[in-house]
Amino acid sequence: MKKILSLLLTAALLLGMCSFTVAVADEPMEIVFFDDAANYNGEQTGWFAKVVLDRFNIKLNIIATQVIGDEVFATRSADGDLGDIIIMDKTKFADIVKAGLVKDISDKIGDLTNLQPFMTQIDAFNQKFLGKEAGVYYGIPDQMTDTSAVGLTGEMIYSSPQVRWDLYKAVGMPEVKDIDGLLDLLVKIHEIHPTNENGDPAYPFSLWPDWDNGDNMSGPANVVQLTTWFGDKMKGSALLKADNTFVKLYDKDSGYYKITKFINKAYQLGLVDPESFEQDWNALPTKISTGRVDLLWYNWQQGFWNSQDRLDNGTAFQTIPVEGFNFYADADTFYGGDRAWGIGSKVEGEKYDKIIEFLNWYASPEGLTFEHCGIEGLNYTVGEDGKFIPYKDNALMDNLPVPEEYGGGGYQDGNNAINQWLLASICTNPNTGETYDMKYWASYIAKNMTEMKKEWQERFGANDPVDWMKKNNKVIISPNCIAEMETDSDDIAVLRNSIDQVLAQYTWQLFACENDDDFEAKWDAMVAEIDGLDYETLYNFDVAKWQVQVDAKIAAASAK
Amino acid sequence: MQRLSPKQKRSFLEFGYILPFLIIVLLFSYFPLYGWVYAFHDYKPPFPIGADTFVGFKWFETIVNNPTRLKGVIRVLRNTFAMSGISLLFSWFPMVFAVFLNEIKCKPFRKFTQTVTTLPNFISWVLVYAFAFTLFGTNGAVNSVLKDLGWIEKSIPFLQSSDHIWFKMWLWLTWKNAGWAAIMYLAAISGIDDQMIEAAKVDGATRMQIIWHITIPSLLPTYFVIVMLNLANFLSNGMEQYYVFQNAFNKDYIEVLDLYVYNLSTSGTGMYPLSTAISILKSVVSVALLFMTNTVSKLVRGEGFI
Amino acid sequence: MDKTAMSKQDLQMRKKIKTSVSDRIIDIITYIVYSLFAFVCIYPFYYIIINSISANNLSERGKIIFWPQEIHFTNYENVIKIPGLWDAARTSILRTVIGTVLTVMIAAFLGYMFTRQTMWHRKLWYRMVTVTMYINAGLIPWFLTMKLLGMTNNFWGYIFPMIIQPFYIVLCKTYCESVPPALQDAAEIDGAGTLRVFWSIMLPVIKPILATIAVFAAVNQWNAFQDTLLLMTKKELYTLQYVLFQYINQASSLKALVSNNTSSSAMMASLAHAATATSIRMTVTVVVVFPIMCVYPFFQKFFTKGIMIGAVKG
Repeated sequence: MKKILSLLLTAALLLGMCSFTVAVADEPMEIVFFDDAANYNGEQTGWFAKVVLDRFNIKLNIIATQVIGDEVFATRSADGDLGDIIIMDKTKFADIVKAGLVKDISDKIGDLTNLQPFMTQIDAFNQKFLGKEAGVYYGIPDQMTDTSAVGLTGEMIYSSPQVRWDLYKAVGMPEVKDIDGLLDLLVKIHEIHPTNENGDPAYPFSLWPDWDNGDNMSGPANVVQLTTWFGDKMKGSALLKADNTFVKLYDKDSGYYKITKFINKAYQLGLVDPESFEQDWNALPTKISTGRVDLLWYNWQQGFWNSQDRLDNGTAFQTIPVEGFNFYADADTFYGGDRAWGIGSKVEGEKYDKIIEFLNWYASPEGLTFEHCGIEGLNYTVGEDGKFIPYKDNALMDNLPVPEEYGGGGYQDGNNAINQWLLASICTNPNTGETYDMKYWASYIAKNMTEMKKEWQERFGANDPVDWMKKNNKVIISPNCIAEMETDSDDIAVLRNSIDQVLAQYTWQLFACENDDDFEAKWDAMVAEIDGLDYETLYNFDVAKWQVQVDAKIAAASAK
Repeated sequence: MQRLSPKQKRSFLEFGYILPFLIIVLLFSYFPLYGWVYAFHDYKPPFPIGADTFVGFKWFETIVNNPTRLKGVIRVLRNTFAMSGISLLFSWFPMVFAVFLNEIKCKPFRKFTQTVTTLPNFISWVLVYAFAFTLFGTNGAVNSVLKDLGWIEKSIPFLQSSDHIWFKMWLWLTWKNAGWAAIMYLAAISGIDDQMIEAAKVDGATRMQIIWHITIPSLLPTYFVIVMLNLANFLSNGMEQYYVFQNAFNKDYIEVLDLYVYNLSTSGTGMYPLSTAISILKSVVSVALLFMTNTVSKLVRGEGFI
Repeated sequence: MDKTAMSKQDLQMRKKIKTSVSDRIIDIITYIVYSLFAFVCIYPFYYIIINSISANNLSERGKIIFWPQEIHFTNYENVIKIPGLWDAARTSILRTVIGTVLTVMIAAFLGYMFTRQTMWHRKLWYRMVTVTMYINAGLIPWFLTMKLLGMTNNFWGYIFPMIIQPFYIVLCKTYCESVPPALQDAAEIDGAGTLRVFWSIMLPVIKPILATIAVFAAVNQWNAFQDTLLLMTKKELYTLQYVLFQYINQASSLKALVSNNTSSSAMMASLAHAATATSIRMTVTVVVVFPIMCVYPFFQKFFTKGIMIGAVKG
């Protein structure tokens, strides 16, 4: 027995020794991405890796905090080395610049030729947000556009009510005037659609708790995303009204109360999926794709149901404009989205040069075409007029095989895992004159003019939901701007977390109140508890913090 | 220099044998304790701590200085005590499980059962909840069957309500751990001298008598040690189990201390000093409990366990 | 009394008489209770297996309860095709074997040594080791210590922090204490030193508890992934659990992807059709448990039979 043990141990040790010998040949240089936006952790593989390898002889190693958790931020920053390229939330980015973890790239900013047309934005970011003097550059905003800071490109805004077009027709295409009207519509739809085709119960509302208190908004996501229908936007724990004033979130004339009551009324009418209180987001994709949810409110949720077939035969989800609503939407990300790019402070020499080259390519038309459109001959083809025509636009969904010259493999498998771009897809491609985003190609629009779309246009008198909102003055476009805002101190963080927890818990209980008296009583209890936890301090902090942004937006709006 | 007696030599020699391991323990477990200093600062990654971030006992005070939050903390402690209390009350379960498992005469069945009861240990809590949701959810299998049989009209909200939540949590915990913990006791049983048992049988002892007078007493030392070690862990119930089962309706009763700390730190950064402070408190309480239990053990059983 | 003179037949007859009614009742109750318990333990696992081989959309809807339907093995194929999986598996096996052997040896050795009343300040060192079960320094200092000690991107970072486990040491010590002192004394009279007594006398006798600790330690090593997450960035050092952990989280980061409101809706749609998170978790669970169940019976036989072969003759 002892002999076996010692033999085993020796064999294991020997095996261990040899597997870790390093083979050094013409190894491509490894670039480590510290990427808060990525959904894939590890080395980039597949066709995108080949594209990058062929041009720069580098390989990308992505550290994705969304996959492996946030602890690596704490440990790596304590260690002084986050990575070679850093992509993270702007406010956090400002912190790491202050902490000296980001490299000063002023000397090479001129080498980024493809970003020169965007210097206004890059200047604004570095000077206004990072507080640096002119000529000093530490970071580059993500997803800048060449459109405008007060414009809204696109057919749909982020949050609006959507129902299935065929169901809407079946209940007589009623006019929806306000939130009660919406409730009536849903009651009617639920009556004619109590189950899906398989007999599983279907409900207008199916909720989930795991996104609560995210996106800088206190409270359940299922509430705070919908307050925008009243033009009220949660900023932290304070509520910003359409007239740019702040009120406390429990103000009874505002979105938070109204939406919570809306969901409770729906619950009392039996329109809320009872599993809402036990499930999490994972249950939703299946429920939506099997037709068990009748009301959607994010623009991307349609992706789970609206296949080409359904678009053609009219059973897809469409936005239902509501007259009484005053939708809030963020303008195009002219100055950039929520994140910023930077280079790690430990990078120097050859690696620094390589990274600058890579970033310049990443923002070039060739790079952007790969990032937003895909591979020529696979995702799209080029027409005689030089414009792009969608070819196999299911390449991503169905993981189609990639041509040999790109190394084969599946399209989805080899897709860009960085998941963040320097320039947004609505920028114009100088080679085609159209945007990089397929949705706006003339060829695509022609291809997708379905019967259903025509019906919608007829019914509502506009080309698409955004068009309707603009025509009828039902949308508040919040200008994109740069504003440096305070980050939470530890005290505020603790305060915020305790209040968030209580707020979410009470709100969920409010959804399930059996009658209005219960609701009011519980509402008051919630207010009392939040005030008891010193909501006043948190509220004042948030107002002061977000006021900076509001002022910047007012300035941007009046400037244009 | 005095010459050491053989006895003293041996004494130091024995110490020498364990010295390398003590050094490892010092390096890996005690050295990192310098990190407790974070609890006395306003630490926010990525900014390093220094003289200007020092705040003394502020974080410890935060736990108690707000009355509403204090109520919350007391509630959380109540939940923790309840869960740990129930676990303690039923801590004999794996032992009894092992004892009677050993009594199964059919060897293949015994081996099969023993192996199979360790399987739940390998299912992560996340999956356990997914399974619980399918079975006990509002539209789950159990409710469907009960409705079909006509025994109930409306679904029983097994997962939503806070009724008997502590007991339910204990059931899940036992299901997951009992088989695995029983392994320790099985090992102890297999070390019992067969001759003793044979002699007892010859003397006319029944199975229950053998169990009561031989098997269990042989297991008691192991049992007591394990119980006392767990007593010192009274404040730690783990986080995962309670996290997956928690929702707005049972939160008041299901939130134990570890989960409370986790819930507070969902923002990632900015909460590190507070969770370190709570961690320090837990450690201090645990070590205190450890030595207290040891003293009680000495008084009651005549011997300590450390 | 002349027991030894009793014939074998007499003994057997006595035994038969003792199989009384109460014995039968105990037997029946035991079989029923343990069958129930076994069912309750195996059904969830069975449920996981049939769900991982049934059509993912049916599984997500909770339709697969008793039998698998629309059997497919794509989930398993996808797992096997994960790049780097087999290299990671090899690393895992390596760390499990080395880690377990060392943990068991150290637990046994320290457990025995702490029973030696003659050791210099025995109590102090014993307490020093056991107290570490209850003190937690926190993530960041632990990481920085590891970095300082060179444990990052180093295979030994998997081993050193985990091989001294106070709980196992306590178990061994308790077990050693129940070994009749006559055994040790006999050896010492024969002139054996501490190490010799440990190796030749103690170790064989405490085999059951060693097997137990081996199982616990092996499973811990096999399932560990947090150390990989924090300490290792070189993919040669990835373990199986870590690769699978990434894989699971990538699948469920559909949530993360969709909350990034600037992603293209084509991306959304594509992920909508990808394998759902729960199916992946189930498949991974089966993949991880399968090797454990293969190895487990080997250890099981060590703690299900008595091995106290009368070393002490009257």
